[in-house]
Amino acid sequence: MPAVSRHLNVLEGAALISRTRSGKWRASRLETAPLRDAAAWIERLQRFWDASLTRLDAHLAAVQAAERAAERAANDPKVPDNNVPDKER
Amino acid sequence: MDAGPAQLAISRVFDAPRALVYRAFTDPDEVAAWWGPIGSERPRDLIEFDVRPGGSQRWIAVAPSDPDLRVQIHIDLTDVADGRLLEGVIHVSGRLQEGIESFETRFRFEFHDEPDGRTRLEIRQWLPEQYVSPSKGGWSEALTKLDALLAARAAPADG
Repeated sequence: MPAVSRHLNVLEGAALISRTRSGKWRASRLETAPLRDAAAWIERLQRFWDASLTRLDAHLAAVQAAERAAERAANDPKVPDNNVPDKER
Repeated sequence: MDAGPAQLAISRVFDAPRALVYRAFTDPDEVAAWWGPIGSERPRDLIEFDVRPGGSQRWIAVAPSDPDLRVQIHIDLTDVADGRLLEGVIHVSGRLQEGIESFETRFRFEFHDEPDGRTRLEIRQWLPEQYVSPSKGGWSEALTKLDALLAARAAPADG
């Protein structure tokens, strides 16, 4: 029992449980608010990154497509003032 | 700094070379192009980057559909390894969405080479202090004590 009591003191100190006294009995109650707030924060960040990284994926594809197009134009002999020698194919 | 495992871990592979993915996080024009959900914008003239260990990155996020929203992002960079690592603390404040308070979160972004010129991004973020410590002591202390108590009980009795 002393060990259980110490566990409960620790949980009460972390606001994970609240306790009330009635005669020789102490009732302990699980406080879910701190856990819930933390879980909500993690879930929000996951949604944020999911949306952002999907945009990043599309952005990286667009940047590389633009780079490839610029490279093709630079290697195109039909473009005037093209001083980049034609690569062997 | 807190050495415990991050509460948020995200891994994603991009079909782009590592230098390009790293640039997406460290070049103001790049960050302006993608960071945040669809509909959010980061005015280019309000972006200030000084990417180096001890440096910082700052910008403002707004959303034309929600004029009340004005999110200030301020990143303190504690560690920077060019092309490979960004580490520090992100401070999020300003006028946020309803029900969301300002917070600070320690973060680590790692950029790894993958076969075929692809890049794996590893994101780690740690719970803001306000969630870790809802009251005096907080979770980490409580759980450390619990660990110790449970370990003591599991160990063979003395003598």
